[in-house]
Amino acid sequence: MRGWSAALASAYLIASVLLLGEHARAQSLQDKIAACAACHGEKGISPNPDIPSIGGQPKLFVMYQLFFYREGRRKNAEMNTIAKDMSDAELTAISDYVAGLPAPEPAGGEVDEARYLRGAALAQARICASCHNPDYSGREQMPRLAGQRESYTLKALQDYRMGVRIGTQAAMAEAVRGLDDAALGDLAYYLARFRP
Amino acid sequence: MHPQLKQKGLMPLSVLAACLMAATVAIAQEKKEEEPFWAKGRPKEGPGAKMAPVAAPPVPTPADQLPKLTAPKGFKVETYASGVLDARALRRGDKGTIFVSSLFVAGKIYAITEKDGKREVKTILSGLELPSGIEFHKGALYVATPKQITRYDNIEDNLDKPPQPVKVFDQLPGDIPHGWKYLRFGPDGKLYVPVGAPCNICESDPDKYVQIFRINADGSGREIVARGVRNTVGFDFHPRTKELWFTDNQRDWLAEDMPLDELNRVANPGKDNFGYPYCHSGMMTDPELGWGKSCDDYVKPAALLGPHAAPLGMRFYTGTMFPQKYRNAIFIARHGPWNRTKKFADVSVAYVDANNKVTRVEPFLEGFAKDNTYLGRPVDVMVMPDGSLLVSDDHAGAVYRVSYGK
Repeated sequence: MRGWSAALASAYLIASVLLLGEHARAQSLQDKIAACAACHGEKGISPNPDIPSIGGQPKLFVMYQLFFYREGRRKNAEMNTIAKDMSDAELTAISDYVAGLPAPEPAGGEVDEARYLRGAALAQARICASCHNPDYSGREQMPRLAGQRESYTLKALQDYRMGVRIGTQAAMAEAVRGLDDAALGDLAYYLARFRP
Repeated sequence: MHPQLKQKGLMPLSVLAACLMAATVAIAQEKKEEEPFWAKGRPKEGPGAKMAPVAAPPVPTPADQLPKLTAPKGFKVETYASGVLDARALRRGDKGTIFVSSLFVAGKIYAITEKDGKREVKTILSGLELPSGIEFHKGALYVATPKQITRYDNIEDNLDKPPQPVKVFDQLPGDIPHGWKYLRFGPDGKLYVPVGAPCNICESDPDKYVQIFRINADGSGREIVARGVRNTVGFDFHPRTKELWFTDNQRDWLAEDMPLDELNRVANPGKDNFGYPYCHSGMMTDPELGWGKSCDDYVKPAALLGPHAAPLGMRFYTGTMFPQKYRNAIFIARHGPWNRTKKFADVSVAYVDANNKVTRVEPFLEGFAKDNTYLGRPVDVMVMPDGSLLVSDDHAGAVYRVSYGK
C-alpha cells in the first residue's frame, strides 16, 4: 500500500503545482487517475490479461499513447473517450504519475524453457534490446516490455505487423516484418517472463 | 555467365536474369527484415548500439519554459508563437499569413495570423500523413506528403474552411524513409521537389529516388535537377545567381564524427551528381558500396556542416535589417544529430563570397541543447519582409523571431 499512497501523494502534488491549485481541475485529474486504476490495476499492474500493465512505463511513451488516443490515431473505445478532452497539462501530469508506479514482476508459474529460449533468440535477432534496453525496461518513447501481460504484447505486435499501430516512427513495422503468430507469441511469452 | 550453366545450356539468359533478380530482391528483403531501415550499419555493442531517433514530446513546451536562445550582440530573440506542436516548414502568404507544417507527431498544417496586434495559431488542416512539405504560390498553399502534392487555392481567404485540395502531382514513390518533403518554387516558376533514399544506405533506382526534380506549377514536365542526393529538406536559390543550393543529410552509423553533412550548390542542373550512396562528404567512399568508386567523379560540397548535424531548412538572407555582412549569407537550421552520442543544435550562418565560395560557417542562434539533451531543435528559417528571421522548432513546438537593432 505504501507505493500506492506515495504515488497518490505525488499525483496530488503534480496536480496542485501544474493546475495552480484550481480545485475543480485537480479533482478532474484525480478522477482521470482513478479511471486508470479501474482497468490497469491499483498499482498499474493489470489484473486482466488483455489490458496492459502501465506501471514503470517511460513517461514519454505514456505521453505518446495518451496523445495518440486523444487524436484518434490509436483506436480503443475506452481510451479514446478518456483521452478525448485531456489537456496537455493533464496528459503530462498523468504520464508522470504512471511512470512513477512500480514496474510489474515477471509472470509467475512454471516456465516452458524451450519456448522462453525461442523468444529470447528472436528478440536477439530483431535487436529489440537496442531500443527497449537490455533489461527491456524501456526508455523515452520506447515502452517497457519486461513483465508485460503476454496476450497484450502479442496483440501489440500483431497490430504493428498489420500497420494498425505505427508508433512514433516506422521502426516497429520493420522489427516485426515477416514474423508469424507463433513467432510473435514466443516473443510475448519470453518478454512477459523475462528474468535479467 | 556462370560457366556450369553455359556448359549445360539449361537456362536461357533471360530466365537466369530473372532468377538473379528474384534472388537479389529476396536477399534485400531478408536484410530489411533483420534491421529497421535506420539501423543498417549500426554497431552491435557499446554506446553506439543504444542510439535511436530522438522523439519530441507530443505536447508543446509551455511558453514560459521554452529554451533561452542567444544570438550575437545587437540581436534580439523572442517567441513569435508557442503551442505549435511539431512545427516544421515555414512559409508566408501574400496577405501575411504564416503557414507552418508538421511531420511525424502532429500531421497538421497551422496558420499564424495577426489581428489587432494579437497573434493567433490555428490548425487549418489535420489528419495528413507526414505533411512536412509546404509552399505558397499565387494565392495557393501547396502541401506535399511522401505520396502526393496537392494545392489549396485562395487559402488565405479560407483559413477557417479550406477548399477541397486540387491534385498537382501524385507520381511520388511514397516510401516513408526520407519520403517527407520540402517544397520551393524557383525563380524559374517551377516547383522543386526532393525524393530521398528509401533507406539509410542502399542502392536505389536513380530515376525514382535520391534526387531533386522540378515540375511546372500544374505538375507537368518533370525533370531531374540534381542526383546523388540522400535526404534534403532544405533548399533556396541564390538571390543574384539564381542557382539552387541545398542541404543534404548524410548516412548514419559510419562513425561518431563521420560523415559530415553537406551544403551543396547546383551549378549544372540536370547534370550534377552529389555522390550518394557511393561518396560521402565529398571525401570518403562508402565502406560497403563505394568500392571501385571515386569521390572525384561527383560534385564536391560547397561546405561541410558537421557530423550527423541534420541541416534542414536554409535561406539566403535577403533582408536589410541585419548588418551588411549577413547580406546573401545563408542561414541554416541544424536540427542536431540523433545518430551521435554528443548532441548539438543551432542555426548557423554560412558566408558566401562573389565566387560562390563559402568562406566561413559559424553558429548564429544557440541554446537548443543543454547537458547533451535537446530543449529545442530548429527546423526551418524564413526571412520576413521587415528583415527579421523566423525560426521553427519541432521539439519545443514553437516559432522564434530574431531581429536586429531597436
